[in-house]
Amino acid sequence: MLRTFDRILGLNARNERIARRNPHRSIRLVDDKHATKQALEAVGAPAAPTIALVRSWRQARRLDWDALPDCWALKPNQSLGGSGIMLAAGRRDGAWHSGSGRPIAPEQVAEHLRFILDGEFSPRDRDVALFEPLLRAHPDLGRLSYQGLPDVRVICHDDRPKLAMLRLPTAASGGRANLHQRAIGAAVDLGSGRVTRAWSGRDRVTSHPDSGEELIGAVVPHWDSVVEAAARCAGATGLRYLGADVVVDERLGPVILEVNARPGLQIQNVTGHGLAETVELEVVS
Amino acid sequence: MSRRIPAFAQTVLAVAALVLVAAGLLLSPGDRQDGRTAVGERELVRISGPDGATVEAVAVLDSGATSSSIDESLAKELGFDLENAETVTVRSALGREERPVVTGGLQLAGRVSATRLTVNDREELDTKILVGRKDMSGLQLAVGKRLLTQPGEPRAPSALSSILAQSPALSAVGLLALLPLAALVIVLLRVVVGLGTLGTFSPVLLAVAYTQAGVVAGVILTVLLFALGFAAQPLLRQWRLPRVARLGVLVGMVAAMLIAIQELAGVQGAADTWGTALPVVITAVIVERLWESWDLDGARTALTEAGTTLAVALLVTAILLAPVVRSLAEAVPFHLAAACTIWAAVAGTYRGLRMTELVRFAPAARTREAV
Repeated sequence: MLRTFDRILGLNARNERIARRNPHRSIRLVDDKHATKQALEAVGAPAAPTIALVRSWRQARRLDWDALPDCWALKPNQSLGGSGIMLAAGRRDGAWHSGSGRPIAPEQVAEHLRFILDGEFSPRDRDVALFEPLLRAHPDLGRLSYQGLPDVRVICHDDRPKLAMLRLPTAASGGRANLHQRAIGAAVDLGSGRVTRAWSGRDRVTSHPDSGEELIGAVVPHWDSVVEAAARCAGATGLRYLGADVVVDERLGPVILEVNARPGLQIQNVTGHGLAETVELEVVS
Repeated sequence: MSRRIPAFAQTVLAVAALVLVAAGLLLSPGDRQDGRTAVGERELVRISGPDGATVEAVAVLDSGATSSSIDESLAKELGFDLENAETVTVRSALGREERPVVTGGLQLAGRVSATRLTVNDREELDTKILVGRKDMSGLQLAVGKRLLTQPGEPRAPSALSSILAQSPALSAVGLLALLPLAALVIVLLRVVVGLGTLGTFSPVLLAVAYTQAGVVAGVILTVLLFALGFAAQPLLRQWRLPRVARLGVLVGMVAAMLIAIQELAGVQGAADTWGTALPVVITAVIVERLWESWDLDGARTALTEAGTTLAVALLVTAILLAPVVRSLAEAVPFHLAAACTIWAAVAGTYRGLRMTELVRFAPAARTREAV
């Protein structure tokens, strides 16, 4: 019984692993969403396109609002934990509205832009804002989640995917895919893309608490492409231990949303596999 | 990765060692001085009145005064009859003055004596008792030190009674030497135990304030300030102020509240060291973090973190005031600081699981099925 914890990777050991394997240059790169996308595109990995990049208040004032599409996601380039994201899900008579139909006035967008540029959501004083096309979940995944955007987290050691889980937003998580906010974490078999077990917080579940949809046995669409996209992240970024967040969009297919240099450890509880045994450190010079 | 010791046992051993060292420090008795007893500028004394009523309070030891004196309200509280007491004429910088004189018991550093106490108005001063040189014969006055003895014995008071005394117990150099120790405690609590606080070193700054100004008032004040700052947050969000402005407003609110409390408390003669002791900016930052945590992770996480922050601050306070720790800080400040710095680095090399992770990853550890 005492030995069962030997498989578990704790934060202390994880931090050491990151310090040893992930170069500073690469960590700085993935903290910059725009630069990461360019690095991913350079190796042919799928990343979300950029509609507009706003670097300063001056550029914000000169932004051609009419040239923006009906749907977009406005993001800080360096935000932490997915904060500071504004979404437009459609446009009626020149005014955007959110996913729930609440109108978004252009002044609100301008104000949010200024907040982003002033570094409100970022670790530094200043930031850059990105407009991206609004990603929509593939119907097979959208069916399994409550609002929000479900994604697949893949832990990779170099270009080898090691563990995967599907994160499904719930009403309790407010549409966010963060596990500690009670989104559902579902273990996905790396070979088949099939969900094998699912957790809501510390409780095991078999169906989605909001929709009642059966989760066990569900298959992530385009699974081979999801795994392949994750496998390219190490080469593109230079990270040797990483967590890739992949979204399966209804039109674009798998898109890499983010590459994490410090992936969380909750995936161990979700999959039942310890990262200490799964990603054993090899002796590398 | 070492396979000799199971990961579970490794964590339990590390935590057990930590608890043992902390308990040793906290429960250690004060060291007995050789030869003449040293007393600091301020000491805890016990005064008894004619019908056996006693009061324990912090007194200022003043070798420039001949005899001891106590505050009028304290004398009445102890049951002295001031109306019919004999009087003396006192010459001071303020001129001549008639003051009542009473005879009471004074207990200082383990010595009991019946002594004559002049009664005057010390309402505006932060100590109600002054001990003059007549009552200090045979004692050595250590300038710059405080609370080296307790009324009953010539040993430093325990961590607990120092905490409860509303008086700065640590000198500036002593405090400086203790900061690396406090930092080491934080490193161990995070790396071995796995506690999460609002701000990495904020509990240390709160603890320093508590050692200087007393823990009871300190905790009440901190909780009050947290609550006030937290209640103001929705308003600050509604105005959509940027983070720097929110922090600015919070710093102002904390400072204003401290001033208000000090003015109210000053009338009652309570501790007036708070204004300088409580880290205003840190308190504001903690409040901001509390709100962020509440917003992102929910009320339960936020309250747990706030509670942990306060608990860690109290633990650090107790360790800083433990007699063994205090005498080390006074005797060998440089060595203590250097040793703690090295140990902080050594503690950082611990790669095992944290204690809280044994709970967090229990579901994964229990799973045996293969996928």
